[in-house]
Amino acid sequence: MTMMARSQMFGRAALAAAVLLGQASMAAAGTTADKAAALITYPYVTVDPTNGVDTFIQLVNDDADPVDVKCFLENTTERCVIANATPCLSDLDCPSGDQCGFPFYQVTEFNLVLTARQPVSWQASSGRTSLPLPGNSGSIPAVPGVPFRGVLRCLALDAVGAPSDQNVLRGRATLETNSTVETDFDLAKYNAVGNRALPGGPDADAALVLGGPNAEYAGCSQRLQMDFPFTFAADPVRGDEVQSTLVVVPCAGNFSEAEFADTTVQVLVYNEFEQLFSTSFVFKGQRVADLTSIDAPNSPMLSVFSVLVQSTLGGRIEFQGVESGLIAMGIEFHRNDTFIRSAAVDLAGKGERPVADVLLAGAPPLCPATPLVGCKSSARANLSWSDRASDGRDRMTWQLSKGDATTVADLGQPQVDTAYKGCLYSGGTPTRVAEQNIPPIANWRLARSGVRYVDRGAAEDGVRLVNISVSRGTTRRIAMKGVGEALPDPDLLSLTAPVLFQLSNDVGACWESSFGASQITTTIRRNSDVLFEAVKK
Amino acid sequence: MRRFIPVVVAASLWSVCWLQPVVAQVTIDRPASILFFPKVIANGSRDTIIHIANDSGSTTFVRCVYLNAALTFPGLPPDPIQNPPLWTDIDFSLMLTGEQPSVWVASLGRAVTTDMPCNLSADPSCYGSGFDPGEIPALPGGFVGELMCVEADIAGSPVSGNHLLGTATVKDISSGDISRYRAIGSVGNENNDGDDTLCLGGVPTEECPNGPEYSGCPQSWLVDVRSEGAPVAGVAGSALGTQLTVSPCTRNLNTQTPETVTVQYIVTNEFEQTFSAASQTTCWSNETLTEINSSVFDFVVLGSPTARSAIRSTNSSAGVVLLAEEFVDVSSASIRAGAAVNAHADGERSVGDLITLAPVL
Repeated sequence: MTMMARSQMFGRAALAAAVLLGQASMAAAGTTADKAAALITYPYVTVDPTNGVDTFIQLVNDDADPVDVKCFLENTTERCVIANATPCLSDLDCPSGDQCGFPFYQVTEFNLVLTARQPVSWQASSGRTSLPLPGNSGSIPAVPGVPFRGVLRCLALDAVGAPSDQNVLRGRATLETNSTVETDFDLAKYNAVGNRALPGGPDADAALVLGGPNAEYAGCSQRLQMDFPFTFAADPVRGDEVQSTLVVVPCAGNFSEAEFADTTVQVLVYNEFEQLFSTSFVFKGQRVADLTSIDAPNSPMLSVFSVLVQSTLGGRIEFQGVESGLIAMGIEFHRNDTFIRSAAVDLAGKGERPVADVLLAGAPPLCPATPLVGCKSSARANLSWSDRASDGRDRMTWQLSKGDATTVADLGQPQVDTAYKGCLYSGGTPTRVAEQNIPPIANWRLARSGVRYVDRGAAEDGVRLVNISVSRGTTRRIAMKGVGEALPDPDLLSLTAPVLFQLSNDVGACWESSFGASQITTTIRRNSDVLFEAVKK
Repeated sequence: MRRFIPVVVAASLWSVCWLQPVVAQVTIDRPASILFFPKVIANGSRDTIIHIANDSGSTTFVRCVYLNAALTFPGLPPDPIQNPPLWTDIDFSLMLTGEQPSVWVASLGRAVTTDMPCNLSADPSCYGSGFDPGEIPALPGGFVGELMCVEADIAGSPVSGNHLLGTATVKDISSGDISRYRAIGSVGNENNDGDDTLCLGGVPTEECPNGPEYSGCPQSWLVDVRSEGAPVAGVAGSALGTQLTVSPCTRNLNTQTPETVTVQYIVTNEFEQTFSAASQTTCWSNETLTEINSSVFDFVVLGSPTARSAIRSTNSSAGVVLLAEEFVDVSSASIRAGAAVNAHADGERSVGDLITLAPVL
């Protein structure tokens, strides 16, 4: 096939794609690789012990105050088709006769508190069990198995764990190859890609809206661009053969379901003769693609990314996602008979997608941002919450007696389908500081005058006991106890009156106790960093 | 040599280009009207492959200038007075057709006679194939310095088209090791009056009566360095180091007056401890962190594997352009591997920077 014929063949598709690109919005910002942001993405994290590959990750808080960070480590490492519990990056990682290619996707969440302007770093292979300062909290898990390939995203949170509009996170990653086979060492380095939060943009829910009319964060770029030498070309300095890899991840997805939809990527390819070619591919979660594998995996020399097709050294691609925006980076390889050397490069974008990409970053908060109104109260109540140095010694107790009118119907059927939750709020303008989920069915049973939940393992948010008893049309008594490592750790010292605890269920009933609003009827006995105690009489 | 090739009528359509909104600081995130390639080396041990691309569908004209920062007396220590950089400029012009990428090697330049397609795999003759963007001069031996390219109209007057993208790959000729970085872009705005005084950031002044014509240099650059001398986990005999390349944003290429800036470094380690250092740069510098200050970036002193560095010019008259390149030396195998990475920009200088171009002859 002649170059001209090939060019014509691609012409129609290229025209269609060009029209699509031409409609792009050019006004907005898109993602950034050189500014701090509230949401940052490391599109390529890899560990491959067989080939001596590891990723060194740097994360920095730019703010003069501490920042809470929630990170999501996405494992996109494929599995062997037959031995489908075995992770693999290529067929060589699979047993003889097996192939690599079974899709896999899993998310590991972890939380950190970084102190003012603090930089932290870790090897992806080993994680980090602790951070050095008393103000730090959290640990960083090692990648869940090797070989590993995946994505890391980190999100700035406010003091109560809701997404923050503080653009204070920056990151970079270094791909390190210590090849014992070739006695060689190689480095490639890139900046994490940021979506900057709009002032006041993020709301309290876990759905991060990137771009679009109701944006909470800057959207992903309408299109991305990469300059590269065409594959199989000889670099003009030494004659080493060059090859490029493109890494793309979607902007939209759902961490809580560990689910990402198919994303179609349209690619336009330009050479130095002003000729335009096009191709496309579909991926899910992450695609790490040698450019020639995109359109010609079995005949790479005939790829639109091949110098044999393009006949110029310099190439340029523009690409965009259809169903989702994209975050991407590139890696250029130079190889000869004795070594492979690489360099990563951040990509430029253009415009911002006119439609929103929604990233569901974990389960939404259990408790509403503002307390429920109209809850049943009581004449007497007490609340005790302790947060010890050892989480295993943490305790909470909430008791209520002589309460307002309550019917058996208000209790629902927790042994069948009625879920309960406990919510702790602080201050006159209430701030949500802790929440506890008490799911239906398991551990619930009907009691003589109400319902009773007992979980000696206290696995669900530390809840060990809930006992609600109704007598003569009133709430006779409610007792709720929590214990152990799963119990939430609210910042007890920062609790300010009134402190409100609410227990509610999903048939619409709720009970509450408020402490500290009136010094006549309530007393806050202890309010330290390890213990809060209050009573209402 | 400065020249612009007459082009087809369609080329004049380039001037209907849209203007992007003013962006606060220089950026690597999007096309721009001024590109800074802070680190160009063609000194016999390393060479640089330059990629530049036209992001518009129409022809774009570009004025480029290499700034040679090789020392006046090579082999002697740098000194702003006794042994300053040469700071000589080498000008050339490009004409990039719609969406055209163009590539050249700094030491070789690019001749105008090799438009024919190449047809061999792994054939260095592919170099130079493509529509001729104009003659690009080969650099003299021992070149170290910077490349700056400014988008212009057909007559050579600077314009705010925001169509330029660039990357540079610095290659070690002996080992084949490569480092790649994005050119730093300054985004033009509607204030551009087309004269040879380019106003980056700031407010209206006598030299810049319309106010800023291009996005400004940042108040600070943020570089998250790995501590000097720290080992790479699992690599025996390895030691990390970082070179910082710094040049003043303000430069007068008409008078070739050297600009000197004092650069301040505020370094924070993992323990929230803060250290500081300062250095001077005249025209251009490329120093290791240890050369800048032997202690504050040191692994033993910092006590942590990484540090956050906020780097800024203390001069009111000039901000800086900056690039970091990290190296790992593995003594047991006599290997050196490098990786360049663009720094993060933080805030915009309140005072603008001025770039004065030499007039088109």
